[in-house]
Amino acid sequence: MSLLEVDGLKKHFPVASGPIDKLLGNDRTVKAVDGIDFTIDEGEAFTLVGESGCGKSTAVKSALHHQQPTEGTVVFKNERIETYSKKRLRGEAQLIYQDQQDTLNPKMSVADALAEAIRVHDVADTEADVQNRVDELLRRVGISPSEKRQRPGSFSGGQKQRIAIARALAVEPSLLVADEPVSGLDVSVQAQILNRLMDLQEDLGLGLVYVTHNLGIARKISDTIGVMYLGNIVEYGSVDEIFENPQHPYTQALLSANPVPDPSIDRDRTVLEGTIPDPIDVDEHGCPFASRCPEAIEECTTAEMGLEPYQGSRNHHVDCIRR
Amino acid sequence: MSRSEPVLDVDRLTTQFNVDGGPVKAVDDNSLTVHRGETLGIVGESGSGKSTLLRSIMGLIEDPGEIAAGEINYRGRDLTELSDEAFRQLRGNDISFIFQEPMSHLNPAYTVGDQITDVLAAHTELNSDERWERVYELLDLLGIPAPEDRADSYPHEFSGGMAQRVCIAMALACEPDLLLADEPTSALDVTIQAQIIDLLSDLQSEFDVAMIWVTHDMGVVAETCDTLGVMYAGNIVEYGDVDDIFDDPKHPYTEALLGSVPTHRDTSDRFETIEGAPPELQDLPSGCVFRDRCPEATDACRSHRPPYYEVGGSRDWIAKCLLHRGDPTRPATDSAPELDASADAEWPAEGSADGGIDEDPKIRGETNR
Repeated sequence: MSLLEVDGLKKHFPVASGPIDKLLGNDRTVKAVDGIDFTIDEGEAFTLVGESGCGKSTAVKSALHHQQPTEGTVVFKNERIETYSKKRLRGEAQLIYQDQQDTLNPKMSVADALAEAIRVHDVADTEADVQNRVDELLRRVGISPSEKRQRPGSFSGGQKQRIAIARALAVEPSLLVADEPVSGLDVSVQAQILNRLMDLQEDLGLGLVYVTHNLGIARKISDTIGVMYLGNIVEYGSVDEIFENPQHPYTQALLSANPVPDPSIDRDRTVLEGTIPDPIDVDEHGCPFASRCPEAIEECTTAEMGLEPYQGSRNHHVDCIRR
Repeated sequence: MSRSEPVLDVDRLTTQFNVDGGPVKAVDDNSLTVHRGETLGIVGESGSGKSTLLRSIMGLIEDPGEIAAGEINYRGRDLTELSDEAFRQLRGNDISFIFQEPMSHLNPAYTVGDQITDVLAAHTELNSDERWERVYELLDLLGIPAPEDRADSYPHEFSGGMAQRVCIAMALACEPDLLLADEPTSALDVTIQAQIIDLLSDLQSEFDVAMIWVTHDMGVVAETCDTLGVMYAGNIVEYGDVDDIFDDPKHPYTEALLGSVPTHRDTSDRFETIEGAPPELQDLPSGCVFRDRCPEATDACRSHRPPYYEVGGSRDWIAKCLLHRGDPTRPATDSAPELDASADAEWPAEGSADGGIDEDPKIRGETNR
């Protein structure tokens, strides 16, 4: 059963313009997210991957109405997401971010932070249940309950991220959204946390939306994946299919640019020319990648774009007129 | 690998910070060698001392830090003996640098052309016209379009990748012998990183420069480096040829680190992990610095700080690990430091009854002191 259905989601930000521009109707917008669709089933892990500025974080924030989207519909557990109260939505869908320094209250002990979330969302009956649940959550993320009276400041970056995961899970959500949760951490610490996260996601049957620029993490953590470029999902499908058989020229270039820790592989790399264009200047027509694409032809700048099944496949969609 | 005279030969360098509670060794008795046209990768997690190692070579260690022991031999001169003035002559001319954040190493108030000509004016005899010619040449070489226009641009007018190209142009302006790069691509997106990696590899062959590339990314190491030093808690725990180390890592930390790197070609279910976290440098365990997290640690690892051992009888591949103490008939001599005197336990004398150590290596310093 589908947990989250996102259809035609757009998030445009107005760019501050002067009075003369306004008079002339030259209002400009940044099209951070420009019409994306994806669906997540219960217990499924979906990753949005892309380079900085591609709109992946804005996409998940607008999908969960942390930011009001400009356009598009989002259906969560068979109900339009607008019909949820803020509290009910937070009880069902939780977010974790990259920097826990900013999200854990420095003056509150870990036990209090977790207990507060449990009480507010009524997921435990008695105070004893609340405390048992706090201990259980901390154990599950690999923090000793004996440390629960300490404040966030006395934990390392990796431990804070574990605590953040515990707090997100405290309210028994059905969907967890994780925006680059380990990218500030060293690889050995990353690996521990990601393994925990994958165990929890599977054990609890959570839907997971993971946002990252790291293709190695995307490969391991996801069932399905969407590759974003300039506000669009350019390729979408099962993670194995996309990584083994990438079709969009951007996905191909991205995978080929990613350094592989194996010096014996002498790779013939496609190195993309130029940089990602400014999302203010993006043309409404044609393919957003046309300006850097090694395979672009005249039509690419004018064609109607949209994800289409690749060779009729249900688990591989690509947005490229040359495929 | 070139066997000519090394451009840089760091011998048993210790850099420490004298803070309350005693000296903290951020670089603890490490040696390395780089030849012309060769890239040495230094890889490690945050706090492992890799940047301090690089800053020591640059002569940029400031109070309360100091180089407490060892030599940094650059083409026959010991840099630790150099005066500040003499070092200034060297920096930017013979030895130059590239940093992680290009924007914070460019002056926002001057055009990039002005900044590169400054370097040329300080270190070369070129006249003004020749300097500007050289700037255009360099920017062109770095793949910056329309160099004559772009030389008049200010740093903020460049993207991150383009600004890094400007920094590289500046670093190469005086055709240095040694280029030190501290995470030069870590702040860039992966498609831009690929451009810079390719560019630096090409330029390195063209300029035949020796290079040290500090990074936390094993993928970048595999693509760019000839030799590799793996750092953990201030120690280069393994040092050798990149292909050899990736193929069959000898130090348990190297092995675990390689296993925990996420790669998009890996189809297994879970990451390999290293339990625990790196120790605080102020509070290192006795014996081996990695022993608390090492799956193979023995009692001996708790009591003895391991010196360098040759791996497979080759001087080009060494590991600070008792498990690889190797063939006692071929002891590490040149590159192996003596036992760290500050280790809690003394290394057992030859023929000692210590059960944990059955083969006692001869190491330099032990026999002649």
